[in-house]
Amino acid sequence: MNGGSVPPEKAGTVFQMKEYKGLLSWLSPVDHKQIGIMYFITSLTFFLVAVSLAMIMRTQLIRPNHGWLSSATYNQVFSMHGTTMVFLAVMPMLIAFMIYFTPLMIGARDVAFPRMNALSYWLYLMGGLLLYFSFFTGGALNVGWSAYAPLTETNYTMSKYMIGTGVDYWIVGLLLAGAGTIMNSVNILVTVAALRAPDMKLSRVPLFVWMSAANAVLMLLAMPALNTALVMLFLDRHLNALFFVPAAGGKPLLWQHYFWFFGHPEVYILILPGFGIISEVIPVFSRKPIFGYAFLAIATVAIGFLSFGVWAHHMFATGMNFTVYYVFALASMLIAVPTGIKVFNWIATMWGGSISFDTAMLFAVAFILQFTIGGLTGVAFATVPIDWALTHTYFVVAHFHYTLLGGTLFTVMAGFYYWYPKITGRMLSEKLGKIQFWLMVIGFNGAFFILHFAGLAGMPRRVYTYPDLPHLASINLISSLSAYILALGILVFFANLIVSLRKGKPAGDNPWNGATLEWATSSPPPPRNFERIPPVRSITPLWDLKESGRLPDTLPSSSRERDNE
Amino acid sequence: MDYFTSVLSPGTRQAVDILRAFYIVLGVSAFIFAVVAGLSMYALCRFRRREGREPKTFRENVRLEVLWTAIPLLIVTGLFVVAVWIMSLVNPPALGHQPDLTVTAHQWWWGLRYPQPGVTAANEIHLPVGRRLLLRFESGDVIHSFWVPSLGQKIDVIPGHPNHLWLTLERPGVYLGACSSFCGMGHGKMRIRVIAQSTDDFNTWIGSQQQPASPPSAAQAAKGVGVFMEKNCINCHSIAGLVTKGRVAPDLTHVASRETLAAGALTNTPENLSRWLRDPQSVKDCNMPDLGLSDDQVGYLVAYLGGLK
Repeated sequence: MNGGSVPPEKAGTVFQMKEYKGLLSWLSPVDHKQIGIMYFITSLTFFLVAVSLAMIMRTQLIRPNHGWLSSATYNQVFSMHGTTMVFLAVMPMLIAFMIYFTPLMIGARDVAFPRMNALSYWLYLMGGLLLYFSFFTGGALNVGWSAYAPLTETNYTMSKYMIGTGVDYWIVGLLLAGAGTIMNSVNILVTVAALRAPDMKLSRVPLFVWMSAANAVLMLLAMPALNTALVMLFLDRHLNALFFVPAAGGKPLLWQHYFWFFGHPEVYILILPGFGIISEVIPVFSRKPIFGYAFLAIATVAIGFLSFGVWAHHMFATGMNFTVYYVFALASMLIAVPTGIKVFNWIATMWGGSISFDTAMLFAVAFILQFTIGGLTGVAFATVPIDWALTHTYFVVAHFHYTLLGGTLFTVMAGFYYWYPKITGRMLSEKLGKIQFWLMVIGFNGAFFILHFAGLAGMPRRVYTYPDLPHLASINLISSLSAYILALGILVFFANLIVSLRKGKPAGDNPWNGATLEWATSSPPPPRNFERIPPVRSITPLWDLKESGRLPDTLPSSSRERDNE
Repeated sequence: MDYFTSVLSPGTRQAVDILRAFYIVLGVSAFIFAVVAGLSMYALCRFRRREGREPKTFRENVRLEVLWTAIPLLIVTGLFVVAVWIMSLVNPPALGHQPDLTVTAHQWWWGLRYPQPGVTAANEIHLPVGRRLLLRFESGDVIHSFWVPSLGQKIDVIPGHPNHLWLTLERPGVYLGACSSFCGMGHGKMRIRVIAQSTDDFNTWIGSQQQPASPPSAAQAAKGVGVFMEKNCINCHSIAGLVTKGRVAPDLTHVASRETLAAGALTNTPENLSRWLRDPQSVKDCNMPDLGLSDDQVGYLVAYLGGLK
C-alpha cells in the first residue's frame, strides 16, 4: 500500500534506502528489519564456512584409509562443522526470519525491545568470532559439538598437539551467543504478546508467528541449561571444580543430562520456525487457506511441551535403568503424533488447492517428504533396541541430516524464495532457483540416504578414517560425490542472492498474492513498517480485503505468468 | 574363518532380536512414508494450477484430525510394546551375576580380563559359541562405546559407571567392530576384533593364554628382553613371567598370538611390528611414545615379542 505511489521498476532495493545508507547505520541499527538483515548475512556467512568444513570432511572420507587429513585436523573440522551449523548458522538464520517477520506479520512497528535486539545480534557475532579465533590459538574445539565430559577436562585436552584452549573459546563463545539467544526469545515473546495489531486475536495470528512464539519459549527454557553446563565445565577446567571428573566423585553423565536437556529442545528450536515457514508457503502457493489452523497451533504447543521430556533418548546406550528408558522412549514416540498432524494438515492444505510450482513451493514439498524420512528414522531411534544397535553410527548422521538439512535447510530455502522479494524489493531468479532446487534434492538425498547403509555396514561416526570393510568404500564414494552436487546447489543459491539484488525483477508489494500482513506494506518495507494497518478479520486478512474489493490484485501471482510479461 | 561386520548379519541371539525390531519398524515406516508420499504426489498432480479452476475453500475437518491423531497414536503404542519386549530379551539387568569377561576401555585400546580362568589379554576378544555370556565394561579414562555391529547392542563405556552386555554367540567367526563414542585423537583407529570359537577351541586358547610368556629362544630375542627392560617398556606393559607392573598399556604376554597390533590398526607381521616400534605415531595417534630405538634394538625387540605366542 505504501509503495503504491512509486512504479515498481523505479523502486530501489533495501540497500538503496536512505535510512540504511552509511557505515554508521549498520553499526548502530535498532530497526528490526535492519538487524534481521544483519542476522541473515552473518548466519549465511557462517553457513558457508560450515558447508566448506563439511566438504573437507566428505573429501577426507571419500575413500578408506585416506591419508589427506590427520586425526588432529579432522577432529577440529567435524567439531566446528556441528557447532557452527547449530549455533552460528541455522539457529540464527531462523532467528533472522523470526525477528524480521514477526513484527510485520502481526502489524507491529518493531520488536518490543529494539535495543536489546541489537545487543542480541552483537553478542551472537562476537561469540561466533571468538569461537573462530580459537583456530589461531593452537586449535579449535576438537571433541565434537556435544563435547562429552570427561574428554573436555584439561588433562585430556592438553596434549602435545593441542594446548586445549579450543574448548575454552567454545565455552565462552557459546555463552555469549546463548545470552543473545535468550534475549531474542524474550523479545519475540513480548512482541507477540503486546504489539499485535488491534484486531489480531491469538486465533488470527499467522502460524509462523505461533511457531516463532513457541520457539521462543523453548529457547528461553533450554538455553539456560546449556549455559549452566558451560559454566560448570569452565569451573572444572580452571578452578578444579570436578563436576564431571569421576575419580573425584563427579559424574560424566551429568554433562550429558544437562547438554541434552538443552540439546533436544534445541532440535525443535531448529525446526519449529521452519514448520512456520512451511505453514505460510503452502497455503499461498496452493491459493487455499491453511487446513486445520487450530490443530497446527495446538500440535506446536504439544511438541514444545514434549520436547522437554525426551532428552535422555540421546543416552539410550549409556546403560541407564530400564524405567528411565520406558519413559523417554514413550515420550519420544509420542512426539511423532503432533508432527504427523502437521504433515497431514499441510497435505490437506494442498488438497483441492490451485498449486503452482514456484521454487518456494518446490522446497516446501521436498521438505515434507524428506522430513518424513527423518521423522520415521527418529521413531526407529525411539525404539530403544534399535537405538542400541545404531546410535553413534552413520545411521544417526543420516537421520539428523534428514531432519536438519532435508528438513530445516529446505524450509529456510522456501523462506528465502518466498520472502526475499519482501526483504530486498527484488525477486530471486526462478530459473536459478529451479537449478538450485534439483541440485540440492539430488545432492542431498544422494549424500545422506546412502549413509543409513554406512551405519548398518558398521561405520561409527566421528572417525577421521575407516578400514576397507565390505561396502564402505562405495557408500562413501557415492556420498562424497553427491555432497559436491549439494554444495554446487548451495553455491547457485548464493549466486542467486547476489545477482538478483541487482538484476532481479522488482517485487512489488505482494508478488505471491500472500494473505498475511507483511504483504500489505511496500517491498522493502519502510522503517516503521506500515502507514496504515489493514483490518484483521481472519488469518488471511489480505485475501479478505481482496474479496471485499478494497485491495486491488496488483500483480499476477505465479512466476510463469510473470516470466511471460 | 567367516567375517561379520554388519548390523544386517547378526551373530548373536540378541542381534537377531534387535534386527527383528528393526525390520518391524522399517516395515511400518515404509508404509507411512508411502502414504505421505502418495497423498502428496497425488495432490500435486491432481490440484496443480490450471486456467479456470478455482481452489476449494474448506479449512477444517475435525473427524479427519481425530483420525490422523488416533492412528499414529496406535502405531507408536504398538512400537513402544515392541521396544519393551525386545529390550527385555536383549539386555536384562545383570542382577549380581559374575561377568565372564571384563573389558576395560582405554585411550585407545581394550584391556581384557577373564576372571574365572584368570587370563589377561588385550584388543582381541575370544569368546565361546553357544553360551549366554555376561560382559562387564569399565573405562580407564574417558567415555568410549563398545560396538560390534553383528553382536547387536552397543554399550557406552563410562568411567565410574560400569555397564554390561549379555551375548549368546550363535556362529563361530571373526566379528569386527570399533569404539563408537568419540574418545579423542585415536578414536578412528580403536578397533575391536571378537573371535567366536567352539567351546573346545576356546578352552585351548584359554589354556595357552594361562601360560606365562615363553623364555627367549635365541640370542637376538634374549637381547630383546634387555631392550624391553632398559627402554622402560615395563612401566606400561606387562609380560607374565618377566615383569608385570605395567598396567596402562596392553598386556604383551602372548602378543604374537594376536592377529593385529595397536587395536586393529596393523596386521601382526614382523614388518609391521618394527614399523610400530620405530614410529608408533605414524601408525595411529596413541600414548605409546617414540622410544628412539636403533635399528638393532628394533630387530631385537621384534625377535623377542614375535616369539611370545
